[in-house]
Amino acid sequence: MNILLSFLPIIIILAVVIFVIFLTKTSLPKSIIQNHWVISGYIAILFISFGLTSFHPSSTIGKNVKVQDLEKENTNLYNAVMEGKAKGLINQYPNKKWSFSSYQGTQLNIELGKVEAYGARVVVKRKKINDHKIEVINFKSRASANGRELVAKPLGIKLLGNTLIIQKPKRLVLNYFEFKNVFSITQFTREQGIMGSSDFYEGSSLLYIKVPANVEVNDQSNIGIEYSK
Amino acid sequence: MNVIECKDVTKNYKRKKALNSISFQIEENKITGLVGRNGAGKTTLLKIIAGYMKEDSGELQVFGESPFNNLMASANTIFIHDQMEFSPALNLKEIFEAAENFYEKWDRERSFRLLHYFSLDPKQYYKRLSKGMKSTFNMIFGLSANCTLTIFDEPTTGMDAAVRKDFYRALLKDYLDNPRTIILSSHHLNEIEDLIEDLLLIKDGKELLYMPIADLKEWAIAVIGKSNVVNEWIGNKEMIHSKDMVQDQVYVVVRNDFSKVELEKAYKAGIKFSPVSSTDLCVYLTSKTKGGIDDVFS
Amino acid sequence: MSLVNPSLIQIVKKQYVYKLRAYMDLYTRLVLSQIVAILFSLNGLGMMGARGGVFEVSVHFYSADLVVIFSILWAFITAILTTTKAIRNGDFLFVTNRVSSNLSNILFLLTASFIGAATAMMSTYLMKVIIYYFMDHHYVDTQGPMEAPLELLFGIFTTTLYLFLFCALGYLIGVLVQLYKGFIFILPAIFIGTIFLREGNTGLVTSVFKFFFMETSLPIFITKVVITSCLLFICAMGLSNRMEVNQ
Repeated sequence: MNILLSFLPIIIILAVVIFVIFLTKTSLPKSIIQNHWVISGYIAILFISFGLTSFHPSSTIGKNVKVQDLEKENTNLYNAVMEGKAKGLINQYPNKKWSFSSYQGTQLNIELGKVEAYGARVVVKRKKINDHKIEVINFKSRASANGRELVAKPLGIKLLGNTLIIQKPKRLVLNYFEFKNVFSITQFTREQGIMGSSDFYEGSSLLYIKVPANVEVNDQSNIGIEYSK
Repeated sequence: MNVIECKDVTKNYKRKKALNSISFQIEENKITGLVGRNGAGKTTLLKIIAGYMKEDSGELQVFGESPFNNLMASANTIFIHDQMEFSPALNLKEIFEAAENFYEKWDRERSFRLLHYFSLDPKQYYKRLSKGMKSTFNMIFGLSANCTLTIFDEPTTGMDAAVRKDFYRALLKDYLDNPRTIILSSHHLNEIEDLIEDLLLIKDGKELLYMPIADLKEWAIAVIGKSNVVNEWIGNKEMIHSKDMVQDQVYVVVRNDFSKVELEKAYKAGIKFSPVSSTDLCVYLTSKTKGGIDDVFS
Repeated sequence: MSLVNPSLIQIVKKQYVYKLRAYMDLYTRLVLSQIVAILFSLNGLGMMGARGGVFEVSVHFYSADLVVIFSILWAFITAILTTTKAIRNGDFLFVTNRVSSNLSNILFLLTASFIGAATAMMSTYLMKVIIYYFMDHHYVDTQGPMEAPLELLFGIFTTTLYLFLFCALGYLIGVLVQLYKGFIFILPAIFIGTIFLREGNTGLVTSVFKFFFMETSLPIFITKVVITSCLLFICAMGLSNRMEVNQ
């Protein structure tokens, strides 16, 4: 479950020993004992901290999210995109857009860059008109770490001649602190305390490519390109 | 009314009998000296009076009640001893403020004047005081509390001679202003002799002598003369103390309860009398063996 | 002879006020132990690492758990210390009897529990501030089901109960040790023995732990703590009522 738990007895005993020595050692330096500033200063700092916390954001990354909701949203997005209704979704999902204009070719090869296959779905829509413009939208992969939404970096898109190269996004490395309520609260509220289990869910990325009407798309890397209506 | 009534009180420690069926009564508003050698049971007795300990058998009453676990007795008694340890978090002034809160008759003005007189800084912390200064502070604490029963257990330990003298003077002045029952323990009488009214002399946990100090001078007498003459004259009277002197002379201390006939007989036999000082008498009475230290070396 | 005759309640009140003031160094020790606990906690008490195709996440969990545990230890040892000679005899410098001394100790320990709990709960804000302003890290503040101020009060309340429970335990142990010094070695031996014997879920320590720490109903928890603490204190008072003052 948690590394902490298996070390708990040793931690407890160690802490007890340190404490007994510290607390029963009959004399702390007089300057500390008789100095009421230690106590009043500490309490003042606590109150100042209490005040300060109400001024800064409760979290610096992500927002609360449920894994089920993420899955549902991903399905909705996919379905909408497949039905060609992606336009309305652009503002609802984190994405990145590319646009390559004055494309003269009639063939478009899509291939994955030097990286191995990465779980991105590629959906192609052939536009009604021939505007020589290739538009790419990457709906970024979203993940949930302990119910906190994390958004991946976008895929890398390059157009070289008549080849569209999809590159795996840079790995998002996140290192953060998460505050958990103290056990004397979580015990009664049944929320996850520090001893509770943690979870991680990684969603998938969706790449939506709109090509001019006269352009033929070739799947060079066996990505399994799907075509929307 | 008697402030303390003690009847057949016995107290045992693990191996030793600290008090052995001791009995006495202490009257109101008297200064009583409690004298005995180290280990005679003085502190044990005082602790029982102060409610620190409980007697094993017998009965001890303070203000007509058993002092053990008794708030009334505690509120009217103050016990000053050399093991007092006040909180290290409080300075002398704060200790006095706390005491004022507890002891209704606390004399604040006097407490600070005494503190000033003995050059103790009210801002000083108790733990930082030297042994002698602690004793001085404890003494001021005991005097200022103004308790109906005030007990000092060897109060002058560590004090220098000047402070010691001042203390006894302060105690007497305070007593005259505010008569109350005071018990003063010491292992030498000469220090408190001029101060006390009554003397309670104890030995091996038992009272040996309890009388007004004024009567003590008359209580015993020293007899000096040729050993066979003196021994014959004394007969089977108890010798409190005897010492061999040069030329077959002996010095014997006996109870001073001779009849006129006996005294005349003594003069005829060439026996001389001399008074015994109270201090010496106490030493003789409480010594372990009749001969004293000389016997060890003879 | 005019005698003063104070009531028990008066004296308990006076002793309580005196103790709050005189045991100041115990609070200093609380502050120091909480600061140590905060420093230990800042690196995170638990950790989660996840590595997916495009993510590499490592989350350090932090909470006031360690601060509360240290405060519990402080409460436990403070209770033991109040039964030691130096402090117990301190009562006898002023007006007291054993009942008033015990009662004022219990009141003092209750106050100490509250102060320990309140500062422990407040320390979470200090940790948040340190992480936000002084550490180069993102952080996430999980909001429990309760509103923040209510949650703080709730936490102070339940933590006070925990601290008080351990005060009661410490007080009884302290009295036992005063009565028979051998307990200094016997009691820890029993405790450590039962932990390391790994008697599974049936062991005494485990059952006692579950009895309190796994209780999810607040009213039942309050009942358990109050009754247990009362029993422990009553035992301690009964045992100490004949105790003599020795130097």
